Amino acid sequence: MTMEIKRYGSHALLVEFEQSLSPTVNDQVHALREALQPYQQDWLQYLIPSYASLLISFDPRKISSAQVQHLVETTEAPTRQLASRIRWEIPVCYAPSFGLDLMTLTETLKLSVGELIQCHTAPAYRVYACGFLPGFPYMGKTDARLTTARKATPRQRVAAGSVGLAGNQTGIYPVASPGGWQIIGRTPVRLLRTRNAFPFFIQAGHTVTFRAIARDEFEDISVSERAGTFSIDALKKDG
Amino acid sequence: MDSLLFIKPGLFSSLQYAPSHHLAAFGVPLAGPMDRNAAARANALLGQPLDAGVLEFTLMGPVIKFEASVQFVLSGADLGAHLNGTPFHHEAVIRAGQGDVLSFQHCTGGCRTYMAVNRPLLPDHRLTTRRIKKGDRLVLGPPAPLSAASVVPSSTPLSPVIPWLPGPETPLLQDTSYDALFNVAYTVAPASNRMAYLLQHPPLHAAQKELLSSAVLPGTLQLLPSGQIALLMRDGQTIGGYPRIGIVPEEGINQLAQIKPGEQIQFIRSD
Repeated sequence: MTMEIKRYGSHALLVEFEQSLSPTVNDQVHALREALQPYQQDWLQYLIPSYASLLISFDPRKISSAQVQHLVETTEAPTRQLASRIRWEIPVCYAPSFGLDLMTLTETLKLSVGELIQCHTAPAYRVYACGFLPGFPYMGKTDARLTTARKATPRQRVAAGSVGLAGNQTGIYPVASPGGWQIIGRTPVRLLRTRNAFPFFIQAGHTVTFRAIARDEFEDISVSERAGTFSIDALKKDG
Repeated sequence: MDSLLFIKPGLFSSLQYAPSHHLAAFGVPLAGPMDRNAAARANALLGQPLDAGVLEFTLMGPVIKFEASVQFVLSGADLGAHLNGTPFHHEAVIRAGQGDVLSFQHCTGGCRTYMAVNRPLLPDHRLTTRRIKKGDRLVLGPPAPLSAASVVPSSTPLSPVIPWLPGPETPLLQDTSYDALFNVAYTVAPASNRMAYLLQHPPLHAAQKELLSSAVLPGTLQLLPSGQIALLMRDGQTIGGYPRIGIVPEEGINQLAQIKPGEQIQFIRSD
C-alpha cells in the first residue's frame, strides 16, 4: 500500500494513496477514515474523503502536524471490507422530458434508449466522494459504452434530482444548479432530507444502484415526497 | 415578534455562524464569517462566545429597523455606520430601541463589517450562505446571559501582503512560475465573492498532470487551465480537480476578506 502524507496549510494534512480510480484504493481511504473517526471528540476537526485521498483537518491547539503524521503512519487501517457497505437503490425515470441529453447521447454513443438505460442500471456504483454541491455523489465507474464528455456549454439550471454522466462517472444533482453533466434522467427521491436533523443519506463509501421507473411511479413517489410520507428505508438494500 | 427588519439589504449581507465542520465530508462549504477575526472581536466586545452568530455586511451596508431593544457592536470595515442619522464608533457597545434605524454611508476602509447582537440570531437551516433580501425579518432569540468577558482578539491588519504556504501541487509549478508567484501583483477581479477570489495576473504554468478530484480548503490557490488563480474563500467547494499551488493560512484569509474587488495583493512565503 502506497501512502504519501503532504502538509496542506497550517491545520491539515492530505493523505494520498495510489492516484487511481479504483475501489481497492478507495477502500484504503475509507479504512483510514474509519480508524481516525474516534478522534473527532478530541483533536480531529473534520475529514474529507475523495477518490484516492483523505484530508485530515486538526486543531493545532491540541496536536501538532508531526503528531498527526505519526499517528497516520502507525494506524492499523485494515483494508478489509468496509463495515458500512450500504447500498441504496435509486429509482430513476429516463423519460426524455427529464433526461434532457438522452436523445443526443443515444446518437453520439450509438446506443438505443433501452441499451443506454440497461448500461446505466446494470452496475453497482461506488460513491467515491460527495462534493461540488452539498450531497452531490460522484459515482463510478460507468459502463465503457457510456463514457462521454461534459457538455461544452454548461446549462444555466439543472433540475434537482437530475441524473447525469461525465467522463466515466455518474452523479445526481441534490439541488437545482448550473451544471455541465449530460442529463439522462431524474429521480423523484429528494437527496437532501431537509426534514431530518441530518440531511444526507448517500455517503462516500456507499454503493448505489439505479432502477428504471415509469412516469406513473415517478409521480407517485413525488406525491409522497411532497406529503412527507416517503421513507428512504425503502431504498436501503443489503449488500 | 422581536426582530431586525432589513429595509434595504445592502450589497451582500448574510448571517454567519461558526464553520460547519461536521458536514464537510458531504460537500457542504465550511462557511462562517469571511473575516473570522473581526467577527470574533465584535462578539468578544459584547461578552459573547467568539463564534456566536453574526451579521456580515459587504461594502455597502444595509438599512435595518430595530423591532426590539438590543445591544450590538460593529467591527471590521468602516462602512460609515449611523444610528438614527448620527454617526457612531465601531467596537463600542451600542444600545438600540424599538423603531431605531441603523444605516450606513460609504466604505472608508476594508470590505466587510460584522455586527454582533446580544440576542441570538436564530439559525438559518440552509446548508449554504443565504443572501439577505429587502424586507427580510431576522427573528431574535431571548437575551442570552452574558458570559465571562472574552479575551478580545487583535484586529485584522489591513495589508495587501498575504501569507502563503505550499499546497499539495506546488511542486508541479514551473520554476519561473514559482518565482513569479511572489513577484507579481494580483488584482482581485470584480467577480470575486464568498466562494472564491478570482485573481488577474500574468498566467502561471504548471506541469500537465491528470489529477483525481480531491479535497480543497478555504485559502487554497487553485491554478485554472487559463493560468489564472482562483483563491477559494469561506464558501468554497470542498472537492476540486485543479492543482492546489498554495494555501493562505487562516490569518491571511481574514486579511483577504477586507480586500475590495479591484485592489491588488501580493503573496509572501510564510513557511
